[in-house]
Amino acid sequence: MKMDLIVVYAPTHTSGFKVLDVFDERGLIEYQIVEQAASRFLSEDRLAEDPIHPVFDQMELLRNFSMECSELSGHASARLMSNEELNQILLSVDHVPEFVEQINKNGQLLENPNSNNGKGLWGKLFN
Amino acid sequence: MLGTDMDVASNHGLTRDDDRIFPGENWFFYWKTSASLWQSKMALCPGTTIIVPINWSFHSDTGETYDFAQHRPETHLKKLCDIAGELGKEIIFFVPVSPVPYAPNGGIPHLLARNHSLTQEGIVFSVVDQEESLHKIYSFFDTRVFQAYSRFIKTLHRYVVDSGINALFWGFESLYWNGRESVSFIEDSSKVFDQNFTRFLKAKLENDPKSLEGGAITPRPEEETALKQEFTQTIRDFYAEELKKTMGQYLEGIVGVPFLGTSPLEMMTRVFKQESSAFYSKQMTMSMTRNLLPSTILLPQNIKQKSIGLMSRDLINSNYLKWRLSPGRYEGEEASLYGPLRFFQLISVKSNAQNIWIRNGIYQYLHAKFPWCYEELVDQRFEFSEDNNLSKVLVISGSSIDQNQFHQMLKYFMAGGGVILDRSGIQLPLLKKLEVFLMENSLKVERVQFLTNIHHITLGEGRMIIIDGQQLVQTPAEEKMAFWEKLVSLFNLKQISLDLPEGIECFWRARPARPQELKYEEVRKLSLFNTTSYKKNIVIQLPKSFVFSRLIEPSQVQVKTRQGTIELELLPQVQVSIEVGVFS
Repeated sequence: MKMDLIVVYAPTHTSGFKVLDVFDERGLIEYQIVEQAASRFLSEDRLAEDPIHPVFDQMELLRNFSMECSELSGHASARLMSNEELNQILLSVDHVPEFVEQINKNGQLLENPNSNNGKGLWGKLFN
Repeated sequence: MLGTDMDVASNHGLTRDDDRIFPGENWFFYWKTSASLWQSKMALCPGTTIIVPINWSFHSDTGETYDFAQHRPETHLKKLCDIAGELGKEIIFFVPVSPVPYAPNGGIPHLLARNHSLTQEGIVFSVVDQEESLHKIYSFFDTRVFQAYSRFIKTLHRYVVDSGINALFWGFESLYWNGRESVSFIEDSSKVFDQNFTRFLKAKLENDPKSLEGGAITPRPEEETALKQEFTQTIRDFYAEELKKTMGQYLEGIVGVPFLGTSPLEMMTRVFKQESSAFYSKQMTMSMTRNLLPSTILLPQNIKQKSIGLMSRDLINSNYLKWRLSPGRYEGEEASLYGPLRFFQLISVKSNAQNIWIRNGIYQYLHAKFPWCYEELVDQRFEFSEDNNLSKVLVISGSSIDQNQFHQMLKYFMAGGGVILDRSGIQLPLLKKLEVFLMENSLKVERVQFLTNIHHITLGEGRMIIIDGQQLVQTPAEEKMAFWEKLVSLFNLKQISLDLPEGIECFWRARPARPQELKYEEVRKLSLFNTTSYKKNIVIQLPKSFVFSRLIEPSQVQVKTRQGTIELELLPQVQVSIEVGVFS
């Protein structure tokens, strides 16, 4: 099933936002993509703290990071979801197909501005 | 008594419905079928031993009242044993001491399912089962859960005594693999954990005001992790001790069961069906090096039909299950049961188990030259006794030993055993004691500088090598391999060196020679599994002290044997085992 790139985050104690998980329709994510996308918005020191779970001070940066990830991974859009939202989905379903269906409906949908008929920059280059 | 053909189980030919009831490793989910079908279903189980996990939530909705054969026939465990007896099979009951991943709510009664267990990332801990159900795990740090658990165990014990059930009972803790670390399903980061952790800190402080740095209830971050681990271990022990105390002599012990495919990190991979059989094979073999009982029961049927299924049937069902759960119950011919072949015993503590052996390079060396031929004790104590088999080389991390372990190590050495001590992180008084020990016994110490300071000491058959692993950390990988090759060669271990192509998993087992095999010192069995989708060629050179005995399950395998050489061609997803005799 084709879906948006999902970015799951959790609020930190210091009013920041920590990226917990980024996964595509295969349930996989290239850590390299997360690191590369995060490097656009974080200083080297901040990035070095935990490159695959970057922390952003503002929601706007997290949104931009999510779109960058979707761009780099060839997705037309990203879905930004807090750990609480993911938990609510998990608690509302008992089977895997329902779970997949729900994560495709919930969260904040972020359209990739570079998308081309839903294929993204990656799509433009390779399709 | 268990039969010799006991667990030669095969899930081949089981229907999807049967797979729900017998999901693997001879586990039987009695609550998933009608009691009137137990006989016909159990008759299908190919082995003679059946593992029956007792489903707490099936016997009680509330945690207050219990049904053991009073109302529903499916709760009649005595009847289950009787039917198994009529079929010539034996039941081993498994009683959980932690949440379980194969039942809704982690197996706790419905009314107690109030506080979700959370992962470190604050996500509800959920597990995907073999039927694509999502099971949410609930916190065992909830005091109501512990109180109800205590009632459950007491009721179970009374039922076992009153009904006259005569079966083996094992406690089991559900685990998952996180890299090289096995993690208990009890571990939790929920609010209920935090609340009780605060109570634990208060109690600790009241008990001993000096126990916390600065006497503060809010520990420093670096101290907090260790305290949380201590608290988690305390609660794990509570459940385990409750079971041991209540079941008494009925309980054989407690075994860790890593359920493959249940780590929070693997959840999304499983949700999107991206798992591969090959990924789980390492988790299975690693489990055996830790004396755990790996389980594939939560993996989907299509994965179990691949190499992981072959490994489960050949390595786990065929004798590891018996070797692990019923040691000492076999006499005569059965005493020559195959057990894992082990040349080393690695001893470390959990806090450094992940890295210590990788940093000094012995782990990589063992993987290349003695794959899975070692036992890894993490947070377990090594006890020396006169009956100790001295054939294993004890590999000890200095940072993990206290005075007692230090003495046990010296006793092992003096009795003629081999020891490798990585002294990095060792307490200074112990180092001083070691120096005194060497002086008092006038032991000659050979000192060599080769990548690190090496001290080589011999006493009769005993051999001790002391290194400083810290000095090896920056050494290039190839030099580390050469270093360990040189060091290990001093112990004169007899093993066949394997150069396996990528995607071939192997596992060695050994048994004593039988009366008709007196020419051999022991017999070894090498099992090879092709986990790939490609044909693979393997060449095995037999050193002089080994002789080829026979090939087991050679179908779909092309074999050529010449003097001292075995050439194999394995088709994708197949296995073969080779038996070799070892001369003294």
